[in-house]
Amino acid sequence: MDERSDKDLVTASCGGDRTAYAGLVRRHYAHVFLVCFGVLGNVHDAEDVAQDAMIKGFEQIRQLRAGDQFGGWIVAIARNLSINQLRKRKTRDEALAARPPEHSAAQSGNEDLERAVARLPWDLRLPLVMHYLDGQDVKAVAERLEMSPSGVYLKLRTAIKELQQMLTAKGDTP
Amino acid sequence: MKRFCPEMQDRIIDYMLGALDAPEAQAVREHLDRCDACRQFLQGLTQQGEGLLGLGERMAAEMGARQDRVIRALETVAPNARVVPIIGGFVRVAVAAVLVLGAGVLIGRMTAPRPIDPEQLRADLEASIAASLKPALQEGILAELDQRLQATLASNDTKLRVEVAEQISRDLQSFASRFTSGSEQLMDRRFAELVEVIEAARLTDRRQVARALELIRVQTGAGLRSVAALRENAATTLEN
Repeated sequence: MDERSDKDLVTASCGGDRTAYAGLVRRHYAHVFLVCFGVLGNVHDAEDVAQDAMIKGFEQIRQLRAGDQFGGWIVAIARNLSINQLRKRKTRDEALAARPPEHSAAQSGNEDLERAVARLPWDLRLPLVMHYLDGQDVKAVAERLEMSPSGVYLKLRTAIKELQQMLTAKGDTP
Repeated sequence: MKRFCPEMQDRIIDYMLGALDAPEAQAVREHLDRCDACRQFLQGLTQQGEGLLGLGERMAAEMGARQDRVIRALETVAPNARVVPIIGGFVRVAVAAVLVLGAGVLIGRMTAPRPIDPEQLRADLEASIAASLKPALQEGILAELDQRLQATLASNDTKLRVEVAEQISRDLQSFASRFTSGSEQLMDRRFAELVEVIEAARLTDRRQVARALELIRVQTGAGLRSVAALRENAATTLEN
């Protein structure tokens, strides 16, 4: 892991230093990917959009005025790209969401949970993913999503209730 | 099996999330101590939370390979050139104010049954600009304008004034070009017309101001700064 600060890595990246930008990728990619997953609810789509976001970040790095704000900046790019992607694939997404959940005795509780997470509305899924999968506390989630902490708690509570209802309806609590 | 107490559902979730203050959390704990169904409900929620944490850990395990793919993909791209604002602060504010106010006037005109009258449009623009600039911008703009007038007054270099006029013209055209490229066709046409009207009005005004300045310069003449210093300042401004 590159020990340099984000600001130094951004400065070097502005000069076309791919090694420096790779350091930023190593440091921030997980957050970017999980934001994409939080919006899209699909690992493969999240991989594609997260990669697009990191590449776009490199191409537009010279537009970033404060290098130490790279983390928030790249996450915002990823979130916007994900929302755009979600709009493009809305029809497909709705079809997936409307499809009755498949279930077999061989499926594990984890797979059921993943499926239930994927079926949540994205505005509930994103804070849930940021809090549980990315390990961010409520205050950090609120800052990243430009919401109040009480708003984040409300989203989390609603997401948890919906997940619980989906899983209980299947008779399968993980 | 008894179902959890519905009225406690939200409070138990908030308790699990750590969203309750101490007295509220204590009240929930006391309820859980005496209610098996709610205790089981909390246990299910906790397992659900652990399942989510596990999902995060499984995703994290594959993050390195994903990062490698991103870094390989970077080989084919490079940072774009930085987009430098073409126009300076004062001109940018002035042009933005003119265009925004002009857009308001234009929209009003477009909704009217009559075709656009350039002279009327210009008169409306001047009135709107004068009224709107006063509260928010007048002080700063007048100070800046005064500074520039002093600088221009101090100059007897016609070339400098021509360069400034050409720069403003280029700024307006560039701004209009960039703005219109992203707009609907009708608005493109309307704004292009607006910019032409504004530009024509500004050119007329500029000529009048230039004549007045020349007259003042001829009449006063004293206390002027050197042409060389002004040329240097002008070159720096244009480069920036």
